[in-house]
Amino acid sequence: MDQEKLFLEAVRESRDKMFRIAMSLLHVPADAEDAVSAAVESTWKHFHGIRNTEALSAYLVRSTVNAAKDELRRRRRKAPLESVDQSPAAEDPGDPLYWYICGLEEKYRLPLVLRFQERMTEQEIAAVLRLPRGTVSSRIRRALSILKESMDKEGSADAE
Amino acid sequence: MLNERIEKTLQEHAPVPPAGFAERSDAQVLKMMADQKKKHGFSWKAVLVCALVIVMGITTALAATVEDVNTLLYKCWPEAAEFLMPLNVSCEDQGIRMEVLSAAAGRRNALVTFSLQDLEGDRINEYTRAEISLEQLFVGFSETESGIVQLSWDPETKTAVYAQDIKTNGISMPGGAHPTLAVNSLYTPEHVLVDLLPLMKQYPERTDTVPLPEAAYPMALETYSGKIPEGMEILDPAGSLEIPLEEHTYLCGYGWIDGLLHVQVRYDNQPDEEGVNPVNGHIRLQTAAGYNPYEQADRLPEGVVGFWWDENDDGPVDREEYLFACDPADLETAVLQADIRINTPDAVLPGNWSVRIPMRMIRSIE
Repeated sequence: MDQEKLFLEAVRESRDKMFRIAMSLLHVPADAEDAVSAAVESTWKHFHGIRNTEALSAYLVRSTVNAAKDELRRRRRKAPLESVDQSPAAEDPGDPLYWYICGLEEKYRLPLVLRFQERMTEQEIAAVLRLPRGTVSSRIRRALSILKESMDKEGSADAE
Repeated sequence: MLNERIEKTLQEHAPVPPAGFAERSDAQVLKMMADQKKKHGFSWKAVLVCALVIVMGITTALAATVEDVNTLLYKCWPEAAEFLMPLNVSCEDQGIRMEVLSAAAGRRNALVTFSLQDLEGDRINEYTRAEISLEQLFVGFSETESGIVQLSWDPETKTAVYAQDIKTNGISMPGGAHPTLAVNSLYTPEHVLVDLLPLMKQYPERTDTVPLPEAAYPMALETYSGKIPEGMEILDPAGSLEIPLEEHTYLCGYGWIDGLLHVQVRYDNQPDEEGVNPVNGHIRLQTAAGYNPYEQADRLPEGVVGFWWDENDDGPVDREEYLFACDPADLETAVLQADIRINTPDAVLPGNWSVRIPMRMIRSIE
């Protein structure tokens, strides 16, 4: 397949997923779209070193995570003392589980989102986040444990 | 049940891209293709790799001066080295002195050399890694690449010299700004070096192979193609020789497969809650002619220099197999070492080494 067509096809197949992943970190659609755009540009620059569609898709996703994290670092430098609550959970207070998921620390939330929202395997997540698979597995377990604890308390509070 | 609820909740709340997202994305890709230009500029990582190769060949320690450092880099890349300006900006924390030796910056990349000297103890050595940040030099970037390498180590003055490169897709700040170079922590694990060739001579080479496990990840050069070599075979883990090298580390065997030397090791230790092995390692080869995997890229399939995998499915790396593009005759005069790193909590030394560098003191390479 022509290389340019291969690249365009990979971007078209991956970009919605890239947007969702960027949103899980940034929560602002415009910033998430910028992160996707930056990831596409970065991947294009390294395209000569990527030979198949699977590796290309993984590279696009990984670049998206990197670009989103760069934006988070920029935000922290701009307004270190401000508490910018951009969590989408406030828009839907009727779903406490989603609220708790949004409240997870990023290191737990991101693997959880990749696993359950994007339905990636732990191996794929490890490759995207450049973590040992065991670390991915332990972070997902920890996220589930935190959520279970939160939901149990919620259930107790409701009962009261 | 909770897993199903989480999946359902996340699927229901999955963000939908805004109107026009697909069209804008298509337009971006098509514009990039239309605007495609030949890449210009230098490869910073190639500079640092060259520097590392030179350092590995140096058997006597340097009392590193700016001139020594620049000499090292000049051998690899004279065009960059000539732009490095001596700075001599320093700070001290916990009895360790950091000095920024030289720097050069372009529109999208920078090279900084700095030294760390332990004035009071033995907390730095040739294996010390520094976690650093270079802030406020670039704005407008969304992607960065960086690499750091220790250029030299002088045990007499307890001084290590590093080179840090950064490449971004942004632009550099205008003159008058004050970039900050900060070392946030130092990491000095215990190291044990084990010469493998004397051991290997006591045991026959292995010829039992199996297909590469599906769970294996590649260790690769920058030239990595992104795909696993087809038909890749490794030494059969079931036939491991289990030769102890260090606590929790075993040499499983060696053998020649498709013209490449394969060396397999196994780690057997309890990972911490972050899934990190207390012990891990790296095998390196040094031949009489000098071994640089980048020079052997055409022999190393798809740019791969090894594989690692978790065969117990308990998280961390259990087994590694290294590939070396050398010939049997090369081993007669070579050094093949297992560099085993023992990670202990006190291996990390957080600190506050931070200097502001007036932008006017950084020479521009453009």
